[in-house]
Amino acid sequence: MKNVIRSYKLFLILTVFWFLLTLNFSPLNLIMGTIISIVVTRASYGILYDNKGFIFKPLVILTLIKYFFNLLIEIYKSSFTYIVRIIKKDCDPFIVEIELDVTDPLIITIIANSITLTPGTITVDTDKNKLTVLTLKNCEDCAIMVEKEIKERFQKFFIAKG
Amino acid sequence: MIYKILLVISWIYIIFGIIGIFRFSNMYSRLLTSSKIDTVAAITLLIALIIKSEFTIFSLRLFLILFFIMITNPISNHIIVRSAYLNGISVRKEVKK
Repeated sequence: MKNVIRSYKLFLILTVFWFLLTLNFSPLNLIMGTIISIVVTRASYGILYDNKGFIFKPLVILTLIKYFFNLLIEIYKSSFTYIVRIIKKDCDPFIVEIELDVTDPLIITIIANSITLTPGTITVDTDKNKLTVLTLKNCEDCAIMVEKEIKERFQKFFIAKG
Repeated sequence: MIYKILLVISWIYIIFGIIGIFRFSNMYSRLLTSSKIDTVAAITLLIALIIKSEFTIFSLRLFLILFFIMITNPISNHIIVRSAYLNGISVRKEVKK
């Protein structure tokens, strides 16, 4: 119970999510929502937070909103080029290793997730700040080009804010 | 009107995705194509539904689902590709820096 009190923010967020998604305020639902939120909060001890508080450094919400819309635009841009590739049957996958400049594990996870969301690239593996990326363009300079593209697309948002 | 156009666009994405899965012979390019359907078509479909339901509590719930999909969707693709790569299925050509 102590852990639940310590991480009341997570508990509140989970409860709000529960009521928004169910939209049912009957007593049974209220009790169920509260119990499940407490169980999930208790289970995430050591993963999301520990005795000192949250493990991850929180990011600025404005940056995240900007990043979200930028990500949507990037997804649509690359989806059109991917459709052209399907029509031309031009698909020659290869693997590139990319070294990022950031070291925060949360930011690296966000960037790896965005790379997988963008059509045409998938993150295969991560090792600290080294990403192994499966991509499509296959030419001599493409490894450098893909690295530059990913850094310009995703990394710049987090570097500007520190 | 806009939501109808978006729905048609999402169908186009799904159709091209299916065509792509059958056209490509390499396993990795098929996986790349299927991940495209997962993300782009699902996002377009959800945006169309959000526009259709206008500013109600229902559209807020759809937005939450969109957010949830954007966080969890890449994980399945990542796991499949990673297990294929670690099991030694060869990508046609490797370029190492």
